[in-house]
Amino acid sequence: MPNLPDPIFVAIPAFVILVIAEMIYARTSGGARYEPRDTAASLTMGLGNTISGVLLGGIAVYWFTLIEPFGLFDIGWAWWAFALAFLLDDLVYYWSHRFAHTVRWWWADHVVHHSSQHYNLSTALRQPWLSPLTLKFIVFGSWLVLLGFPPAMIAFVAALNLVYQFWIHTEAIGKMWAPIEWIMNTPSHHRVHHATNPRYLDRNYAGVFIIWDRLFGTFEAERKDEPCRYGIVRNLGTFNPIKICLHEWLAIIRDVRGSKSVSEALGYWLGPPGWSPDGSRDSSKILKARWKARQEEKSDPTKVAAE
Amino acid sequence: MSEVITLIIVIGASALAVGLLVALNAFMGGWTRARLSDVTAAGERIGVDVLGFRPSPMATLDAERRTALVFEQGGARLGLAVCRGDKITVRALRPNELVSADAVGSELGLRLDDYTLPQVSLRLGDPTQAQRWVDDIKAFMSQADSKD
Ligand SMILES: [Zn+2]
Ligand SMILES: [Zn+2]
Repeated sequence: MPNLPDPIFVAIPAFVILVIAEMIYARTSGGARYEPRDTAASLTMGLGNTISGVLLGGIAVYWFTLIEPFGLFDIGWAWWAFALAFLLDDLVYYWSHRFAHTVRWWWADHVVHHSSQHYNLSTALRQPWLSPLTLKFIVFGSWLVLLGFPPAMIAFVAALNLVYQFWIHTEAIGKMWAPIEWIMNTPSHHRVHHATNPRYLDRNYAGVFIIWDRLFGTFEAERKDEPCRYGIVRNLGTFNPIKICLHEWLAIIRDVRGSKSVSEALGYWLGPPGWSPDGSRDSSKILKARWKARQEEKSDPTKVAAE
Repeated sequence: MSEVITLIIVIGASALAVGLLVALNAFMGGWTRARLSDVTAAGERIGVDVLGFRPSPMATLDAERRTALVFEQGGARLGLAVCRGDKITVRALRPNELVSADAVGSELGLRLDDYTLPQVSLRLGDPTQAQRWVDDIKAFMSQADSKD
């Protein structure tokens, strides 16, 4: 087994330099925006994520060590194995990320990343603290190990994937050369992912390659006539990292405790974010439908009169 | 043991780096505190974030122009727009999402059943205006009681 460096650890100095560069760019050109309390919250979440990785990451490591002997093939450490692992890990990332937006249990964790109303390089570092406790690594992380890729190789390519995703959290870069926009996840595509405009909700789940969104029908291009509004549907009223970390978990507990039946409790726990038994809350699906109806009303006012 | 010490040093250095970046951000400035120009703008803003919210003329803005309350047409929801830094955070409150409304002089204070936004306060023109809003909000909150 080669001695692989931790790509995130290696990239940290570059992250810091790029954040400073973007801050200067924001100050001099107005083409990006930073606000100190938001920056503090995002960076503290990033630091906490690293600490929690050290404290809780062992759970995932233990699981992967446990299932490693059951790998279908002995893939080994060839260069092509790295390339294939990188590609397949990105596919796994797409689905894992898609489920993180559609299952509230996983959304409670991932919402942290979306909870800033800003979109800058510090937002990339706004990461959850309790991820291993969601057991998402079992459902999505096991596939490549069971195929026979060495867990250390998967960890390495997964970290490279996350390092790639850092630079796309910026408003400083517009649309790039068309072939790049077609294949790769770019700042433009990921801005859409962080936007709460109904048109953009639950779109562009890609990590590195945007082709997965094109393939699985979740791609949405950024439009000039629809600037992104960043954040979540119900934006947070706090910069407190503990509250940012816990708010959706506590909301789930509260909803489940108030449930009138087991199916209701399951809906609140594993249903889509915003699910409610009577549809009185705003899930992405409901918001998109409401928005579509309004668009149709605007283009054909007779429709409203007829209804 | 040395690994633990290295880890503590790395975490300590990272925390210091976070502090320095935030200080640099504060020192450089470059953002402007968000303000709501008037109650119409506040109502429109709530309508953008909460699709379908139709603002009524029954609305107020605090003296700082940082917080606004706007009743929805028909009175089903109370719209709230709060400036936080350079951004605006919005709520369309149902009666059961409000815990209390009080006035101290011309200061209107609301407590919300909201983990990340538990309270807001607005400095209004005079004590009478603040008390009138307390009465209106309490009447609005009583809709929740009558539904139980
Ligand atoms: Zn996401
Ligand atoms: Zn992101």
